[in-house]
Amino acid sequence: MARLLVTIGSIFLTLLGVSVVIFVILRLVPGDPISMMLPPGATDEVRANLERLYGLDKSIPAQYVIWLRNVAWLDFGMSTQFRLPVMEIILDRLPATLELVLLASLIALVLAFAFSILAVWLQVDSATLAIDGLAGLAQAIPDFLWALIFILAVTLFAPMMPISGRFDPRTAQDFATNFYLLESLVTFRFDAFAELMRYAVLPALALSLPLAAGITRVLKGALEEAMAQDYVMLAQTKGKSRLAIVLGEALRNAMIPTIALTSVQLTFLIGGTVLIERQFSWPGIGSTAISAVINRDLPLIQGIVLVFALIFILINLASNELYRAADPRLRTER
Amino acid sequence: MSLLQVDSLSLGLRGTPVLRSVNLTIEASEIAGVVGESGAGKSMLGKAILGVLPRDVTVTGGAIRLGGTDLLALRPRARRALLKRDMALIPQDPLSALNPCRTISAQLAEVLPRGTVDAKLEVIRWLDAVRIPSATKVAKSFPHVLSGGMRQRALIAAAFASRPKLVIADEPTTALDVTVQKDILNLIREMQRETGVGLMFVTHDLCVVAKICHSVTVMHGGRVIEQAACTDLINRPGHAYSQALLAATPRPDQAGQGLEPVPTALIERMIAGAGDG
Amino acid sequence: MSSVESFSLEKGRGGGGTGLERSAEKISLLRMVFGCAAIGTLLIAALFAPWIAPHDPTLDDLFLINMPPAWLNDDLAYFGIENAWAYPLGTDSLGRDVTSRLIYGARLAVIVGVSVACLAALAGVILGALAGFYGGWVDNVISRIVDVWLSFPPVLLSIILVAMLGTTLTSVIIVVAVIDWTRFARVVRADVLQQRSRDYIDAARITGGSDLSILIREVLPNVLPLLVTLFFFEIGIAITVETILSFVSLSVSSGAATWGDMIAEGRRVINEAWWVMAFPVGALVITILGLNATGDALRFYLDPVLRK
Ligand SMILES: Nc1ncnc2c1ncn2[C@@H]1O[C@H](COP(=O)(O)OP(=O)(O)O)[C@@H](O)[C@H]1O
Ligand SMILES: [Mg+2]
Repeated sequence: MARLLVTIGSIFLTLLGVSVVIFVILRLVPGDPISMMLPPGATDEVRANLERLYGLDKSIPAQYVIWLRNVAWLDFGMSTQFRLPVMEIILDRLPATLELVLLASLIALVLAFAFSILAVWLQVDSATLAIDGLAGLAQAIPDFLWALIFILAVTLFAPMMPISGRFDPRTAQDFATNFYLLESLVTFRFDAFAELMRYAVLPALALSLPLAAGITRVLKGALEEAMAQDYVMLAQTKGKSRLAIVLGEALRNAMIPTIALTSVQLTFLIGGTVLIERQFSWPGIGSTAISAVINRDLPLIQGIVLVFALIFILINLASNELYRAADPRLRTER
Repeated sequence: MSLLQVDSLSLGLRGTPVLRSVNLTIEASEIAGVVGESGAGKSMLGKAILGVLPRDVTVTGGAIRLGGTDLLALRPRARRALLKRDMALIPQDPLSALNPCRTISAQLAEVLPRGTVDAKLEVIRWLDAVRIPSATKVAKSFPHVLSGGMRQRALIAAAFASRPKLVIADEPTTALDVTVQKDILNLIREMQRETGVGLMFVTHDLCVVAKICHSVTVMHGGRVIEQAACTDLINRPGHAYSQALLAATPRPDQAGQGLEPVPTALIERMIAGAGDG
Repeated sequence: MSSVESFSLEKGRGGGGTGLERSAEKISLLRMVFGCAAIGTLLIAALFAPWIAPHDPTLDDLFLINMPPAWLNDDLAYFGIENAWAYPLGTDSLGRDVTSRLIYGARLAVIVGVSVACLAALAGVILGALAGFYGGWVDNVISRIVDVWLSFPPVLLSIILVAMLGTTLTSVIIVVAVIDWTRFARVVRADVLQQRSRDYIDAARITGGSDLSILIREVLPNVLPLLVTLFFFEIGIAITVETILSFVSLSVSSGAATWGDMIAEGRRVINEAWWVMAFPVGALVITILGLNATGDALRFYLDPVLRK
């Protein structure tokens, strides 16, 4: 119970720190959002009115206090670019980002587990070297470059493959939520799901490759280490096959170091959505963030940065809990 | 027919020999001691019999028969099935021989013979049999809550619970506190007597051999130096190396004596001499 | 920058017993050769750009728009040139020579990469060493700052900062360094903490060394191999981030001959002229892989523990 309170407290402290930093940085950005909203030749009076409307006529600390008070009521202010509540924009676009992140993480996990288990199970030098080499390559090249490579490859060799957007606007389907992939799955609209996947798979793959490589390296190393332990030899004397031992004995132990690494890498993946969304015109909060910066949409940037920070923190917490759950030695000490 | 018959078994580690033409016979209900210094190849012999050699160690010659079946001729799947049914290992280091991520009962239940009706009950019965206190609670817990001695008891239970014909105990007390060594030794002997398994007891301690074994095999440098009935070897060691080994062992009736290690050069000379004549 | 964080810091493999180890050794040597070749080419291009480049990298030519690379160019008459190899890698949508832009782009890549890596390493080493060596509140403050830093998506942060400082070469360099110093700080802090607990530091204290001299003499040499590797990685990261900033049109004023500008331009015209994007992407990939390979290999050769 005490632990819970401490973690909640530290979440709020970090978020507060993030919000102060971003608030101060943003007030120093040259170029002001009001000029961008005004039609050419607007009067000073109109400008002053607008500044008052968005609270930009007060001092920076005063602005921060007002902003913080509103945030306490989940009011992140109005976007100057879209003239809509920031909260509404974020809620509208977050699902697209979450789906992309989820899909990418899923791909990364499947690839990493498949390759690590395969390498350790086969125990063949050439296969091990090949998997090490692939992982090294996938990890050295950042997701931004993977995206460009995919875009190039599609243009040259598979022009039918879409490289922009979430779906074809001409064949747009009706969805009750913005979680298109999930919704099409749970409502059994599999052809719609397949069509959506065609759009999602390339950005998700680009995001997932470095993460997949990172997990593979740690998991494979941990599996190899576990397979050298005495309990594996004892399991052999119980007549278990090598695959059964890898899956039944080594994997659980190898999960422990893997969880710790994966959470760190997952935050990189989420940070990566900012660019990947831009590259594939994916309508999530990442691409929205870039356009908000370019248009000096301060309230929107603040809101999105806080959302990212919150997600990062939650992932860290979740991984700590998972870590405890995975390691029985920690579980009983509580 | 003997329970286990190892015929001139040789092992190699990428070209270098690890075992050289080792012979060993174990009868049902017999405790066969295997002694020798660290590195003599005792563990490798045990692993070869079980079929769990490290990847780079290979059998380069000889045969292993368990109740007449040629183990080396079996296909991997058949060998595993036979291993599960007929053989078991009591490992050297109880701290690392239990999977830290699985409960005691899970690691015990999987060795129970096919057709066991109530696995849970059986596990607790076996934990009771090796005299682990509050067995019901221990069964549900993970290995890290148990002391080394308790873990070794759980491992002994696991070895005998599969109702094997042959149990290989690889220095089962070496990693334990002196205070629990005797209890564990007695427990193993007691379990062996009750179940009537053949037991290959690996140790570097002739004192222990003298106490519990029926026959002894002395090993050095991957070779068998001498094989004899236990009382014969203790009283009339035939080979100079065995004599030196015996002289270096503190005997219960001559407490405080001996304990000087055998100089390696001397050993080598003795072995060479044995080879000559 | 996001996933660039995940650059491997895997230990090199030494000695050679098993077949696997021997092949790993061979591969490691091959990587070193490849890395040196890549870095050498990059440096030569950067240093001698004006002499190597066949054309002015910023010169438009409306008659030479979107000309394919020489070996694919089968319509010389249309472009009105005699020798396709005058423009080996073709031209972009303004008729500028892709080859020349690529070569001049290497120049900017080297400038940005090396300056950022130096600045970030300097700041990171100083702050990390302070935190690790003095501990207490110094460590608390610095570690807290690192925590807050890591709660921002780095790409977004760099975009915001560049928007704030203006899109000049200097500001791009400063921004990337300001974001990436934590990478060095974390490594140095952890290592200094570890080294500090060892006896020889106490011995140095007792024989009366000043804190600074102890740091420089006893601690830094131990961190050096890892720092060298990180330094090489950081060069690659900085070059990538510059490209990213160009890509969202926030770097060195557009039109300059940078790989980022070429990629951004190439992405726009990818359906008409894929080569505009393909060659800078290829150059970037090879540069990053070369830097990685060299960093890994150098760490292996510098670190007596790993080499043994
Ligand atoms: N995992 C292994 N891989 C390769 N060689 C080994 C391994 N373990 C032991 N050896 C070698 O095999 C020989 C016999 O070792 P071992 O049977 O463990 O000796 P003992 O159990 O009698 O102390 C030793 O020379 C040792 O160097
Ligand atoms: Mg041994």
